[in-house]
Amino acid sequence: MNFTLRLFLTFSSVSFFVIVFLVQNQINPFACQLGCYYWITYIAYILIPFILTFISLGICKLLSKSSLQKVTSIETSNNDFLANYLAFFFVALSIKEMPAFWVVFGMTLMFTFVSRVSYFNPIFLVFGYNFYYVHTNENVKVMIISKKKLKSPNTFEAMTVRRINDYTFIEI
Amino acid sequence: MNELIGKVKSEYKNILSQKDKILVSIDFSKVEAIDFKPSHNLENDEWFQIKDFSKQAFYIEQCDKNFSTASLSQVSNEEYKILSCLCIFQGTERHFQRITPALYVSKKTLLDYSGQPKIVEHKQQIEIKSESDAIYYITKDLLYFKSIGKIKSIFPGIEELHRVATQKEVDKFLAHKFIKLAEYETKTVGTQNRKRIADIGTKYEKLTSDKKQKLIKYAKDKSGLTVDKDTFEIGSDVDLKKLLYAMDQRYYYADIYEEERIASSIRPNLDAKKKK
Repeated sequence: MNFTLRLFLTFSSVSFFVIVFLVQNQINPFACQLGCYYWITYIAYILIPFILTFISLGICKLLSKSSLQKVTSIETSNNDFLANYLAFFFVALSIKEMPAFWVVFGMTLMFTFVSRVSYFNPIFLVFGYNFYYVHTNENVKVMIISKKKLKSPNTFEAMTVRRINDYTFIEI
Repeated sequence: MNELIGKVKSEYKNILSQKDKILVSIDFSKVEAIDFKPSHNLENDEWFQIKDFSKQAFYIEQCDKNFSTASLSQVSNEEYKILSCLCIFQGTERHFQRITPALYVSKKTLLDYSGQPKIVEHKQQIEIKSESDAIYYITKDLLYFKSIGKIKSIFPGIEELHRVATQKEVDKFLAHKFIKLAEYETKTVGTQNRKRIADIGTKYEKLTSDKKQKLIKYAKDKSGLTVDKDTFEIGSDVDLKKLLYAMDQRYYYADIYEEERIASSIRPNLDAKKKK
């Protein structure tokens, strides 16, 4: 269960890679049927990551809960993933051949899956979630994905979070 | 929310959390709790307590009200076999249970009659005891427990409260002028007596020389040991125990029942009126 969920989260997080590749290479199986409305396919492509993320947020509600009582530091990290994402885009843009696509996509998927920051999904931001690095009272640094605006450890209120992995938690 | 964590080697790991209570709480207002004294043997319905537990050297951060389970890693399935203790967060209570091999209920075949009768092969399971080995109340800052031996791996250092005297201390104690060893060596002193030496021996040293004299006289009268001039002859662990009991003033006369008695367990009676 946990493995499938993590794979799903990872996939929805790197799905832009596929979309960029499909658009760049003008892969449009329904071009003939759609005629001058061929761009509908591209809109459908763009919607895919949003739908996947929406579903994965639903799955996150099934994750086990943990408590976060007190934090000693809060650091926002909304912008950190941008570098990763730009890299994704440029790599996807420069790939022309299918074999190269599968190899690079497979590797990206694998490394994102095994890395502890695999859930940097920018679409979470669109859905109103923020990314924070916090140090807990026990001085452990974890990532919290939450809709709340966290500013200061002093005003931090205890929250129940869902465990995505040992270092990443989401508050739903 | 109630949470369950477990200790794998020296690290606590997250196990689960749920809305429902994991254990039935004990109402300690109806239980006799006694400040820990090594000389007291608990009755079945009594508990030891340690006040101001958070100020003790053996306090652990898992008792802190601000402890976040998000700080812990998730336990993996292979690690359940090497769990050494469970800790249950339940409201303002923290329950601690030592895991012993007997609590693993794998390889059991049971008849389940909850619905259609059926044979159930027990999967890998760990029994959670209804009575925890130690319970910490955050609001009262009190730790309740029954046996130090069971919780010394959970609260490292707590065994100092009921420690075993070192060989040096035993040697020093048995070297007192009033003790004469007969076919008995300082190295063969048993664990229980070593614990008594650590407790009673230290108490004795703190007495004034006048009181020490009185105590020796008392021991002569009550202990039943062979006394040669002013020395007690100690030939076995039993003799040593008798002497130590005497040094702890555990022999008394119950005047109404007209009976000489030995107290195998003692503690201060805080409710009694003070003698003038």
